[in-house]
Amino acid sequence: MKRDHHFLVRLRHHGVWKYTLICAGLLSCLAFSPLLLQQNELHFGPLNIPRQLWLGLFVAAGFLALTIVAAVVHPGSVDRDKE
Amino acid sequence: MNVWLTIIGGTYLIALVFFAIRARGQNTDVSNYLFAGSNIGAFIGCLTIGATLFSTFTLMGMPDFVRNHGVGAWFFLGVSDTAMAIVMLWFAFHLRNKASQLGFQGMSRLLRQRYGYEFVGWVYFVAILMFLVPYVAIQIRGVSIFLAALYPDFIPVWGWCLCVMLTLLAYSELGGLRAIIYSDALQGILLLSVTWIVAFLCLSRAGGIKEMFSRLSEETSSLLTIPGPEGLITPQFLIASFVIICLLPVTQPQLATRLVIIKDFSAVRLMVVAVAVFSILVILPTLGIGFYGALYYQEASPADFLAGVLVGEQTAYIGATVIVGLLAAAMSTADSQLFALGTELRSILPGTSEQSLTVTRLVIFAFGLTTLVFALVSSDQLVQLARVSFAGTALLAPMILAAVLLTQRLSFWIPGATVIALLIFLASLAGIVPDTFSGLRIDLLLLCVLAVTTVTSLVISRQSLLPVPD
Repeated sequence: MKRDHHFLVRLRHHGVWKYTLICAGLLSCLAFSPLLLQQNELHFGPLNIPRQLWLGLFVAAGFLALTIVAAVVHPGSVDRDKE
Repeated sequence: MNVWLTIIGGTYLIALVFFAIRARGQNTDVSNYLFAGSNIGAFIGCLTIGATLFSTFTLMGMPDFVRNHGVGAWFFLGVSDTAMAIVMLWFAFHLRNKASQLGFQGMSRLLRQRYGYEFVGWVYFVAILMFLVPYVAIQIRGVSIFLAALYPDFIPVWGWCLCVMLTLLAYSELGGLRAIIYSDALQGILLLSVTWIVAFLCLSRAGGIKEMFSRLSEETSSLLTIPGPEGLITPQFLIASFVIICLLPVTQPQLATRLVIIKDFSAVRLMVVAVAVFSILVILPTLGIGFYGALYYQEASPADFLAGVLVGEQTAYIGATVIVGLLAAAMSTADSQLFALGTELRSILPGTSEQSLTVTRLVIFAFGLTTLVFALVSSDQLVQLARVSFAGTALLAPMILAAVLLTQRLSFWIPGATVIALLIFLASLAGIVPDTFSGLRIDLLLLCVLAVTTVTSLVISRQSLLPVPD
């Protein structure tokens, strides 16, 4: 338990947090790139769901994963609680 | 149906009365009334933000948007709202930091403190008034039209608008922000449950996901690719919407206030993750409802489609739950925004806290009546009008971000440029100025110009106003 706590403390560093933001930025660029948005032909993935919708779902899942990572690694600390 | 509607609607109203009375008992001072004691946990925080964020425009507007524009709707709202959670975490930290230095009575006062000019607070307030009142109005109008279509010989549209407005004003005035947050939590759960129940039933009737998409590819395949049958969902539309939606926690006062009143930063961490999950869970089922509509209600009007799919095809108790869920969705967004407008005005008015609280209550009531008038005359295009409202408030973002993120003296030119951008945007809505410039949407262009102006003015003026924190 204590080791986990120290691991979290090490993770909560501005450097790690900034990498999360960079990843979010890159994912945003990917989400609205021609790679995802300009597909002339209709393709289907599993469950007959259109490929573009699958990609959109994966992008949203990516943002969710990044939100979880961001919430864990955000340095935080300076807070209203210190008033 | 009427029996079930009476039972479920009655239970819902009793719950609202209970929340209002309980909150009134806990509101020992002005701060408690306006900021719910600044002691909101992660779970309630997520539900109140979720309920405030997702309104009738999610449950009514999104299925109709999907029916007309297809898979691009997911990129428009699903992807953008999930990304917004990261911005929410980042902004919450800096806003809470600034609130601990300067105190937080409202964004208007914070801006006035940081820029040192009285008029900056008013710029913010007038802008949110201009764009939030129509937004609240379309929520109430949307649900009222729906109810009037369901019960044509019972109460007219204006009667439903009046009932919704009086109910939300009653519990907001009585219990303050705490009552709103409690009711938001209930409304959030109701909204989520209703969308999933309806989506599940729609998919069952369509023969499952696989069968539904097979039929769609045969009948209206253009719905399954971007930009959709009408060509609306272009990359530029999506990028502009993405930026605007990601900036909602920065520009919308009801969201910014909730970020400050969460009890500590650990709760904020949990809350943003929960908001991201909530966003996916609440938007995903609207795709199922919308695609079902594209198969079975292809030629129907939006009102007929929604009345059919949300109530007409459902059993009595599910239909009644949907109606109450729709009312809850409209009220949870409207009450938060009206209360936020009142709080913002109070924060820039002079006077003692008790005097200004009375003024705030009167102002919220006045905003409610103004919204009611707007609700009776506004258009029925829920999603498009919501987007215009978000785009208008997004123009405030560079001015707010400079005030919250930086410690240096801020130039007069930042709010000055914001005023000019707002005027140009309003002129484009009125048709006086074109809504595109060299192929670029005016909202995106104005946002870019404001960002450049803000950065340039910050580089030019580097004199420090506040001590840099350790």
